[in-house]
Amino acid sequence: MRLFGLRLLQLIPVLLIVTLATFLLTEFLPGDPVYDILGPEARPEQIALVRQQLDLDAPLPSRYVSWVSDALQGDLGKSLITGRSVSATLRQRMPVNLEIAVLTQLLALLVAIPLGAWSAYRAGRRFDRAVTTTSFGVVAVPPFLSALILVAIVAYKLRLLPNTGWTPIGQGIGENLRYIALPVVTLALTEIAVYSQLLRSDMAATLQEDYVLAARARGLSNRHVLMREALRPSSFSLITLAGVNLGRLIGGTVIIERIFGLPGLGTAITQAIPAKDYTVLQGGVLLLAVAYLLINLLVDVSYTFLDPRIKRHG
Amino acid sequence: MRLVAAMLALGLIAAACGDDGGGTGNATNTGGSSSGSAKSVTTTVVTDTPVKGGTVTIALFSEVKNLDPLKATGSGGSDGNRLFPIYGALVTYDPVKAVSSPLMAESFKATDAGFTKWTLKLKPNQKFSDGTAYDAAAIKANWERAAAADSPCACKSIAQAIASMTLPDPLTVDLTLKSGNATFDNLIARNALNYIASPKAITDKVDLVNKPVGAGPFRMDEWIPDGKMTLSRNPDWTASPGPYVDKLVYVIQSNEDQRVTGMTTGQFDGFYTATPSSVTTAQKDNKDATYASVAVNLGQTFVFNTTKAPFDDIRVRKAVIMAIPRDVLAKDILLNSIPADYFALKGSKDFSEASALPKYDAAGAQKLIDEYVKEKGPITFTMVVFQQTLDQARAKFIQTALDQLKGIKAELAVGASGDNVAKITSGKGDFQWTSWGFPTTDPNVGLYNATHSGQPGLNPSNYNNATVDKALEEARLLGDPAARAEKYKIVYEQLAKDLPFFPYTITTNGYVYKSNVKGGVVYEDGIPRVDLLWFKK
Repeated sequence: MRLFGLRLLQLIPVLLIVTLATFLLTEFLPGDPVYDILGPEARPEQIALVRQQLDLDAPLPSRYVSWVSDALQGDLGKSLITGRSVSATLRQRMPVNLEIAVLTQLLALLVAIPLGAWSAYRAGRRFDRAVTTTSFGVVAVPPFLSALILVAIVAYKLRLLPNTGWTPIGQGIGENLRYIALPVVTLALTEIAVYSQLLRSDMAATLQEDYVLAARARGLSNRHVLMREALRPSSFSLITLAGVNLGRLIGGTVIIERIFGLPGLGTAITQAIPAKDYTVLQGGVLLLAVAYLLINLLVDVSYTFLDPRIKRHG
Repeated sequence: MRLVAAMLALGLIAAACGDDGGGTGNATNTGGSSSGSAKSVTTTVVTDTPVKGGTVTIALFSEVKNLDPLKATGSGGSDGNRLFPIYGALVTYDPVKAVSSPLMAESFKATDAGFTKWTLKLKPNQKFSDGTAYDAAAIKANWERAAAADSPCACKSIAQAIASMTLPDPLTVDLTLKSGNATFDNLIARNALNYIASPKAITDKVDLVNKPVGAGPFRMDEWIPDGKMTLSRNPDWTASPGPYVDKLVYVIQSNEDQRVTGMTTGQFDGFYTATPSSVTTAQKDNKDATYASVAVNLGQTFVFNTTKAPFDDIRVRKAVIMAIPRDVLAKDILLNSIPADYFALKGSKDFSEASALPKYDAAGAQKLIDEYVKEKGPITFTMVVFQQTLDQARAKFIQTALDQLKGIKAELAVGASGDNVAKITSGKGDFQWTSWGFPTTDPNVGLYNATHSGQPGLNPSNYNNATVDKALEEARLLGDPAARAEKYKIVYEQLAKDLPFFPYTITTNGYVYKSNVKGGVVYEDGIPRVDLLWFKK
């Protein structure tokens, strides 16, 4: 519990650095949000007025301090471009990314764990070689291409699933899953390939351990040996990577969002960058940073359950 | 595999295309052809009786920033398609006939010979979704809001052109303009002043950005930005026989191919496109699909800064135009669009053979350049290029075309949209060449802004020609469309002589609909009349 509290405290400076860096980077970007608001027919006096209304003429440190003090009170401000509440925007978009990220990870782990474990058990044999070759092939294909191939086959040719769009869970879980299936499978493909190879490698080493050989000698079933004896000590790298990837998947799926027409956080953030909509950008980055750090914290804590020695030795 | 390759190639380009640039049109086409020529225009003939019911789902290419008319453009490609169902429209402009027709208005007419006095009469018994009356007071409140000193509206200068408004009865607004304008109704049709929000909602400071209160044919049920917008039929709508469909769903899909595929797989009943090849693909995959569209003229142009060397010399402007194979540019870079050969749209009322652009002639171009180089030295210039992939592709194409000539060198300066727009519209002439679109349906609006010398910023080429100014000013005071067209002919012909900018393609803004969707019509620069859509059983 102490470790957890300490790690939570360490998040504060990290968040400050992340938000300050984002603020500075935004400032260095070319362009002016006022042109996005007013359009090309704006007159100079209108531009000056809107700049004043949005407080864009204030010095950067003053704007940053003002943003931080508002954020600490739970107010992330309003989008400079749309005037929409940033908190409301994030609340609306985050479920899309969370659902994609969680389902992608679940699907990837569900497929990759048995695949990787069996490959390790059959190391060097035909099944292992087939899985390894396929995995390298899948990793080499960028997700946007996998997406288009899946759309062409599953949506266009077979007409099994919709090629684009989004239905919130609140409007029916069945419809929601129908729409999210292709994006999740697209993203999971790469994860499955990476996870299965990572687990295969770690588990192949674990299977050479004395206690595993002893378990085998005791006549325990392959399933028991692989899933009960060898999996836990072989899964440190897998859990670390899955944690990092979960953070990445929450905010880093913009191309998939675009292809499948998903109203996600990545789209909101990438649209905010060229428009210099720094309130949306800051809010989005803050949320992603918190999510990323919390996930990594949970991953760290999970190590203590996987290996009690870590807990004992701090 | 071929399908994937095609989707990939088109997807990369189309994803980068963004807005239609507020492009505007001069023809309404609801036939199967994607031709941009006004000659091929047919109007929708509804041979069957419309029936009520169903949900029509239409895929759009981009999300709107907000739903408050004050912060909207009214352009068909960007927000007009969302504003119309929610707010309706006072008038709709037909680019083929070059006239506005009243919709929520009963009539909108000038009442004096100088076109300074106008009377707007509204249809009775119209009301906003908050139950308040859609009346003359609502029009006055909205237009005063747009004209206010702190108004961010792109329509502000038009609202400020109104000197006074009086309300002789609840359904009538008498306007006095600061200066005469024979097509003030067309001007209203073109911008956000056409879309009226509930004055009660404005006074109560309702969040119109997210929760619009209008009196249009539909009412918004739900809006998931970058996802979809669901609207239901407004039972109080009386301005047209529709709406026929129960629900209208707009889905955002920025990838052009996904929109086309979505219609083929049955996800959408229609989709927006300005890409001819998408129309062809959709019509191939969907038998008898229709394309309700507006052909765009002057929507995409290359602008020379006529006050800065080397483009202050007509020989260089002409040489550059002659050096670019526009047919190749249109076919290979702009996805099989139609190359522009004239300033005016062929078949339109203001078309004139004398408005022809110089033909591709590399040898002739070299001759003009040699002449210039002999007098003033080698030509170097910088093109202001936008970050969009398509803009960079066409700029590189032109750079390559000019590289084939001696004595001329073009550099590209790729910049952020805001910076580029600032340079181009500053009126200070901080650029030499750029790509630009002139929002035009009625030439009184777009052509006037683009070419009248009294429009610094809006006239980015800094073009200044007394004949053109005179023709534009005279046209503004002519009530007869045919007489106005004669004046615009003079402008187009003079442009063909002076070449301050040049259109390079004719594109179309429009909506492809499946064969069972009837009543597909667009107005203005491509705003769909969703109140007229219905499903044939």
